Amino acid sequence: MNIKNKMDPFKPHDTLPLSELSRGIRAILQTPARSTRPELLRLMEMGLVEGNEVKVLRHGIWGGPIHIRICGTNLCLRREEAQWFWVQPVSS
Amino acid sequence: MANDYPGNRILLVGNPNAGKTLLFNRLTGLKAKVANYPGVTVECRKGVLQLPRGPVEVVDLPGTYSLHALSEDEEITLRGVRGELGAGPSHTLLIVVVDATQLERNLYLLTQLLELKRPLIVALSMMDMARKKRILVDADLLSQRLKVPVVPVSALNQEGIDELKLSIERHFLSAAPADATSETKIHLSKPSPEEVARTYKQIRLWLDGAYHRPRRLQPPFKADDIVLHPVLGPILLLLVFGLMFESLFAWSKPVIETLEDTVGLLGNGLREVLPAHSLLSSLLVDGIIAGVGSVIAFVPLIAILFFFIGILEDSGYLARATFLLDRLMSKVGLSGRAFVPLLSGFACAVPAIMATRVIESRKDRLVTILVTPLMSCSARLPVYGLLIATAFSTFPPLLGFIEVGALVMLAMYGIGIAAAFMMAAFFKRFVFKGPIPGLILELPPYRMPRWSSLTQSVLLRVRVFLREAGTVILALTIVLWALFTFPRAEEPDAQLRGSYAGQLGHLLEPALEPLGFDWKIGVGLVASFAAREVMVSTLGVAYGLGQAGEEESASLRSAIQKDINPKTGKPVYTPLVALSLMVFFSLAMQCMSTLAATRKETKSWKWPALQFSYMTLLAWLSSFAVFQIGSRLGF
Repeated sequence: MNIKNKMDPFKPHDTLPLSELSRGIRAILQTPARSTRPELLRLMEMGLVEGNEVKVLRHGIWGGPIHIRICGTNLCLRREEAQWFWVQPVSS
Repeated sequence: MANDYPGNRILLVGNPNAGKTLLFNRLTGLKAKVANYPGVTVECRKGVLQLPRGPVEVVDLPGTYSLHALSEDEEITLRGVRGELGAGPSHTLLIVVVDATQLERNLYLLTQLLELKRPLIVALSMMDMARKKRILVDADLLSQRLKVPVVPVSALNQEGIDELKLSIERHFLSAAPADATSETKIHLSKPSPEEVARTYKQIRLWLDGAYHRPRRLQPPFKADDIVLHPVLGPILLLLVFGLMFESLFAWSKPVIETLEDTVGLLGNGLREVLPAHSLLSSLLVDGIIAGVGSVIAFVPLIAILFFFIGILEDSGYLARATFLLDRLMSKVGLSGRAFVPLLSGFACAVPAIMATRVIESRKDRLVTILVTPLMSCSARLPVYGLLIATAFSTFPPLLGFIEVGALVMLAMYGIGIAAAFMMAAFFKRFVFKGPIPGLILELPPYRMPRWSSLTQSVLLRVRVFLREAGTVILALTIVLWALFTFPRAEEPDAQLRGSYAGQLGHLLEPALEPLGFDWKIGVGLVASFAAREVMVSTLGVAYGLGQAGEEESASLRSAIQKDINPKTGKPVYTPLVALSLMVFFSLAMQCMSTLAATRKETKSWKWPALQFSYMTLLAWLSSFAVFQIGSRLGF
């Protein structure tokens, strides 16, 4: 995924997938990756859309789900699904 | 009662945890009916709102985040708002419950519902919470922008309920009469990411100036820092579930014993009154009263379990537990929520199977229902106890202090757990194929459970159990009674041998021989279909001891130990036979109550049939393997 990032001239260089965002860093969501999985639509509907702010609160142990803060709510999703979402960290 | 309505109806829609059910209770009083939606296993709550000019039916639809349904629950909500549920023309008003503390995300569903162009009122709930968090909402401004009434409510302290009722009344008075063609044909096409983003931009425009969340000062310590902590979290989880499990066992015991004593007294009383040893007396006492007694004995277990689950759900802890367990459960393809039913299966599979309702995905629910009976339930304990005491008590302790019997007991539990996980993985992989559903889990804010609402739903659930599973169990009890009573004989053990059940035992003997069993064990297996612990008393009768009640009965144990197999000349209950029998017991489906519960939860006989078949096969093969390999090895 990172290789794809570097080759894409439209993505600023410090964009990264949500699954790799460090704990406690605020970030703005960019356009998500394409997928036919129904979970992608649902996650977008829960607020993971371009322009919204997201923050990682914790990572589950042993590859468990990621706990994030989005649209004023607490949401957990698996790493596999978090990889769809590109984010741009906010310099605070 | 549904026929009295002039077709006026309210549908409650909203996000999960938005306070829908609480609002439902406030509107209808604590008198809801729980039933199933036709054709599906999703539950439906219906109640009546008494307005000055007449009653209105209120239906609580399952919570959903979006009309693009991902589960059976959400399908129901979609169909509900489309007007596809319920018979006859109806004038439907949608009340959309929107959580004032999470307004942004909650409004997404509202935008979808607004597109339906159906009559709609917004109930802005959790206002008390919002005030505590110093969140400001301008309901009038929102109402102007959304072009629908917006009523702030706080179901907790009754605030706003009267205004809401007024708003509802105003609507029904001014609206056109029920129209059969008012079903909305809406096409929900999947939006693109850009469209969803645009919707959220629209939501932000609506909220601009009408909604203000103060920038939160992060408190130094939050509950989730402990609850979801990598080390403390699992420890707390063990404690919570341990407590639940312990109370299932400990608290239900005295209640069940009292119930059984009462049933016994009633039975004896009847026996005095009726002609002695008559068929009628036997039918009433050993058949019907025993059957009713066994059904009622499940009530404490169900009540306690659902009370606990209710607390876990309401408080918000269940979501945290799901977070902690997700990794482990998803390895076998199960939902994290399968943990509660599986754990409860150690006490009794009947309430455990009912508890699978917390699992959203239908396939996951089915798989969990199918494998839960493999978790060694408490009814197997008397049998394990008897067999271990019979066959393993003379073994010297390992390493000087470890009792062999305890190890065997532990092994039986381990076999059950291993089999459950193995079969779950098997079913998910080969039978219920499909991609592993992703996890999208909201962690709701911690809340105090609402005790009255909780008690009401527990009582409702017990009532549904009695109505649906209880009747099946009672019917099967009578069938079993007949098998053991006819044809009649004088002595109890001749009776056992000659009855249809005894004949069945003999008939099964060829199939049971490779497992090391004889016909008496066969009869015991047939009898334990009523309840596993019946195996012990049946064996007592088979060995001519009359109605042996106590599993610790020394006379039964010595009778068993002395029994010699006429064909082999060796004792019937060698350690190997005992082991083989215990393995069979741990894996076999020998509980008609479990089958009744499965039927009730899945609304079909297909799944209990599958349960029975695969478990019997698994038990037979495992027992066969144990006995045959053990024999070859010289045990």
